[in-house]
Amino acid sequence: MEWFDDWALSLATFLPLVGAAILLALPKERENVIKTVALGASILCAVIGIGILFRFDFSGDVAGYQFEANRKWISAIGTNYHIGLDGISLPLFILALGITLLVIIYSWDHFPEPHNPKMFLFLILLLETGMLGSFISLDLILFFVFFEIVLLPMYFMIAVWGGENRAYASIKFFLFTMFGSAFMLVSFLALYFMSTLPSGGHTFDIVHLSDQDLGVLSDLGTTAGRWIFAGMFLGFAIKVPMWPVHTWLPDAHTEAPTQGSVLLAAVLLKMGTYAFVRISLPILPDAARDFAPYIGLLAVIGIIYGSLACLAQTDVKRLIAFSSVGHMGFVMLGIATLTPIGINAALFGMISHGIVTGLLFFLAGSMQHRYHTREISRLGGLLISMPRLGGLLVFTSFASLGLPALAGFPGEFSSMLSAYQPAEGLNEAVFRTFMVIAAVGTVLTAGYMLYMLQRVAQGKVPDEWAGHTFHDIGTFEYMSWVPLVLMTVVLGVFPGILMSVTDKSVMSIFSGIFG
Amino acid sequence: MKFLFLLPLLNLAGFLLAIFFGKSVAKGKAHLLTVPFLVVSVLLSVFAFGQIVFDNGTVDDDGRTVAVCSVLAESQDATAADGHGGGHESGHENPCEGVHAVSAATSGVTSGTSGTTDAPAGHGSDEVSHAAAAGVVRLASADGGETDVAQGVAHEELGKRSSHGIDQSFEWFTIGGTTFHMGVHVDGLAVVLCLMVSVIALMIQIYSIGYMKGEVRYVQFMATISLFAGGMLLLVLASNLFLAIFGWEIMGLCSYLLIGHYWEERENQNAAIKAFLTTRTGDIGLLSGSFILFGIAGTLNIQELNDAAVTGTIGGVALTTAAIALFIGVIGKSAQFPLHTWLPDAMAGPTPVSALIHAATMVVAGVYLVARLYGVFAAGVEIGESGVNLIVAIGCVTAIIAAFLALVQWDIKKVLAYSTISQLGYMVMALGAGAWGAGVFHVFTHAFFKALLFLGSGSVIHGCHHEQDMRQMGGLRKLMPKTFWTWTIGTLALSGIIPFAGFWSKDEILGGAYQNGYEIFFVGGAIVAFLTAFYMGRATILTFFGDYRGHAHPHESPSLMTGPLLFLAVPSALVGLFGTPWNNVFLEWVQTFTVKMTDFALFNPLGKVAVHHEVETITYVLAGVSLALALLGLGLSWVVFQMKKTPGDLTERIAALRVGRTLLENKYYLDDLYGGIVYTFREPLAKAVNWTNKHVIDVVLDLTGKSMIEFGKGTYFFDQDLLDKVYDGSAVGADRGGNVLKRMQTGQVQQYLAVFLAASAGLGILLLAAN
Repeated sequence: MEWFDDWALSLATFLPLVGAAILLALPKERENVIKTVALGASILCAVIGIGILFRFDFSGDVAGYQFEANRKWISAIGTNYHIGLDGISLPLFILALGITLLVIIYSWDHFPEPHNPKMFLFLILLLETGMLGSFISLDLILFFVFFEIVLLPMYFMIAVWGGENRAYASIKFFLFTMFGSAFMLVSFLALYFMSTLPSGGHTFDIVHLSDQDLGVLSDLGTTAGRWIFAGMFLGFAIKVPMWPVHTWLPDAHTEAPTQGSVLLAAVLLKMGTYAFVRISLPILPDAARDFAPYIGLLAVIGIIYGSLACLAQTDVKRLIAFSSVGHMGFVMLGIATLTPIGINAALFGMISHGIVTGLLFFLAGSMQHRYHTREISRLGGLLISMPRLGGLLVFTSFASLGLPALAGFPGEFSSMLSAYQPAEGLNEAVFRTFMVIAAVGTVLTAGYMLYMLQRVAQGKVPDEWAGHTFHDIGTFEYMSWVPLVLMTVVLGVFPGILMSVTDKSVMSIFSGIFG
Repeated sequence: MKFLFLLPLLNLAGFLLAIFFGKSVAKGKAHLLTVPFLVVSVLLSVFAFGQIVFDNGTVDDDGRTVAVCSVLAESQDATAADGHGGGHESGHENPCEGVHAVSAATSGVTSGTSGTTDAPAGHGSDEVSHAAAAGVVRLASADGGETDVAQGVAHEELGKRSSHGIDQSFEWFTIGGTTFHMGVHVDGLAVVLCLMVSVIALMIQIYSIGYMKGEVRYVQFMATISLFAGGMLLLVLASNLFLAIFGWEIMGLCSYLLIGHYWEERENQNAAIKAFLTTRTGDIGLLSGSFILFGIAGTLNIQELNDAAVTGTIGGVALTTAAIALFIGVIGKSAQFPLHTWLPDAMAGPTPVSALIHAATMVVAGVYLVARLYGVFAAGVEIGESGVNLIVAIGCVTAIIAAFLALVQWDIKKVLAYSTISQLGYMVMALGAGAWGAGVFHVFTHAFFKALLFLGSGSVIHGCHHEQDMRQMGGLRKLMPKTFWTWTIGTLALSGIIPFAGFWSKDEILGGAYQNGYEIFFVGGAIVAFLTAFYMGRATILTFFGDYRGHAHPHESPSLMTGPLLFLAVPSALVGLFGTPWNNVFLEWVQTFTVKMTDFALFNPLGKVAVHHEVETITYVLAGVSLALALLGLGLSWVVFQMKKTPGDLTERIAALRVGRTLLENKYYLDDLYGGIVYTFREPLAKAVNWTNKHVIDVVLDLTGKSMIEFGKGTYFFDQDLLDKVYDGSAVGADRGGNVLKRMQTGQVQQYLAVFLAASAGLGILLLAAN
């Protein structure tokens, strides 16, 4: 199994790329073959993922990363192909694998116009490689490359398969992210040039850079550290997205095809928050401490602002998109406390948001598929016309508003919990205020979710749809949704399953840094 | 007792079975899937209750001696001092071992489960422990060495019981090095509540088989009632606050689903949303309070929190803030002033739901929380320190204003709804006045007679063909005899007429308030006692006496409905006898395994309230007063409404009364106030945010997008109209900024992309070559 440990991550990451290449070679008309190849590639990836879960040492005895591989890549600039997994990245890695698989299953009979499964699946597979790569990279340049790879397929997915305003939305998405990436890259380069390995020379290696005892960045001044942090902050915050750089998100989500929205919400947003945990905080802890109150402030503004914006929405998908701003606010609040509890809460929140909001976008997509509209004012009585779909919408909405025993709750709860006692050196009064504001946000969240349910799920069927018969949930929809529903319940009732994975890594990385 | 943890699970199973198989397998007879689980729940509760009553909790069925645990309290201080990790030692699967397995190994952390339940704390624990070892059983006082007199008293009184309940838990999750446990804590209080909840839930399900026959979504209705019962039982049994919040919110969900059962109508949807959001508003407090407690005590274990608060390990402003915050949660859930407005609206749900959720169980969840976390509340808001505190004041205000509101209702269910709010206020007032046992006792008695009354009103409504307006009733005494007689028993119990259940608990509350130095609140309580009898008399006369004024053909309800009425009439009449002043066995039951909290002086860390043991005579005087007031209320209602001795237009003639009536009919304008606030701010605020998003942030930050406009016209994916619109709306400054940015970025995506890709490819090749 040595072989597996060395190669598993690379295999899983690049298999989709191989699949994508095969797709390119296939003629466009052979749709079933194309679908099978794509599905096969993602299933193979998932199998490797399961293998990784079996081989992963959860005991916490293994310090650092597992499935690690470190090969020379571009020696001229000292960047290596350094990959590995730990408790922080493993759940996100599995989430990305799983969601992609479910999206491909869902796609089977749900290809948006202008159809073209070949290119559509090609893009999804390409996206998968980018997402997986981002979560395993332990080298800044490698991370950057994967981070950017993700951009293209998503851009095309929105631009080609999107809704009416797809052009605007896709460009906005692209430029926003690109803008942030530029600053992020500059920061990475600055880190490189300001680092000194004990053996001499500079490094892009995340493990070395975050090892405070190694003193790689001991020459870095406070001001320089802050500037570098700010650069990375911009890049990551746009991806999260944090208020006020979130405005690309509602447009992108609304216009993207269902599959795009799901992947965007479930995985892509997490790359920003993950980068905070993996890169910003451990590498620049002092700057992080300086920035933490502002990050927390932006986070709680996002919570309240996102929820309020939801109340004004007339479009189901746009409403869910804005709800993401709020939910990611809870995640960022957890991170901003710089405490192990907060960071665990954030990681939990990432996964649960991925599952729950992913499911919500699936449902919204299926509703659009049937009604050909997302206008809340034209919908109603979903529980009557399609009781199963309606029931699932009620279930998922309650998960999203943070009902205990479902996945949304533990993350939000512990995130607020951690805000009461932020890390040493942070102003308690400030964070306690954030805590209360965030708690107010939970009420607003409940408010807009119930508002949406009231208008979409409950009530009588509007005259417009009175004569219609709708197909309730179909086979492929079941296949792609049931796993998410199960995970929602399992994580809600047994949050320990996930927390036991993240907690050890979080403790080993952060308990030393932030005291 | 050790099987009680099954109760929530059983009802959850009932819910799942009904929701998934209710239609297919049970062919719509969902009660076949849910009722058996409730029956088992009742049996288990009865069994546990029997252990409490007959074994008096000293030995459980394994012969396990409870609670002689010498190692304890050794590290109470360490608990809180050690920022995280308080009270999180190993989980105990086995209750028997668990009790003894005090973890010296993990010391420095806490004394854990076994050290928690009664936990004499900090100082003076040595001698107490010796006493325990000697078989005398420690007393559960917190005063340690300070109030020796009190200890002496407690020794005599408590010699035969006290000590530990059963703690069963397993490690749930660990976060940031702190472990949370999922587990139950079974003691007298929990057992009594379990019995109450499962019996009433069972009665209500049986009643619903008749009442809900042929209604839409019968299956979901039954399933949700089961889930609801499960949630309440979970709350009752939960050993830590985190798990308690689970039960708390599950009930919130069920209440939302059940109030909005007929969700085709917008009105019912709104009532459901109002209930959910109002209680959720209170939950801001509940959550914040929990966070603060965790912050200062390092644990969410309820017993540990009580101990810490009582011993003074935690205290000060933080504890007070936490207690007030938690109490805000209670205000929301238990419909206390000023968040009580959701409860009358919640009557939109089917009547059995009103009986179960909004009378007997869910609304007492808040009261239960206070009773459960009494150490925290007592120390936090300083119960017993002075003649007034937040809890007693809120309780009293609620009791009075709601009682007045009940006077002017015409809807029979609304009368009961306001009555419920008023009685909840009573319970809260009792707890706030340090009369812990009285408060819990009233929870217990009230559950039976209020469920009875609600089901009775349901029977009336059913019999009158869905008529709820009492003006359309009258004379039903003869037409619905079973309903009438059971209703009468409920009325007498609620009005506090001897010897029915309500008399004893109400009397105990009044007595407690008076004796603990809350004389003003005694007066308030007495006023409420009078009003209660008066409005219940009014409702009874309007409904059952005189001539029938409606247009339907009222008939007695089927036996599936009258059966539960008859059954509930028995406890409504009799349970009060368990709590007579001369032999209060109820108090012994609820205190089995529980910290002795009734005698507040023992509990009060500062011991400022004197112990009143010599005031028996005054007890009887007070009882006489409250009884007289109740009789007066009933009599007056008879005079006014039956004999019509007063001119009917009294309120027309006297201005002050008219104003009062208008005020009441408009529910003190509170709904208008809240509604006004919400509707004034919600729309504009949400719109403002949306507008900001579109016209400020987008314009300011979306500079790249703006710069696209000039260059992107020829590109493939360009939507001229939309961007132009945005452009028009953009500020001049933004435009300038756009120009600056334009120079940095061509803005043409294709071009940009090509350059980017080419550059990276080139760079890659170059670097590889150099490599």
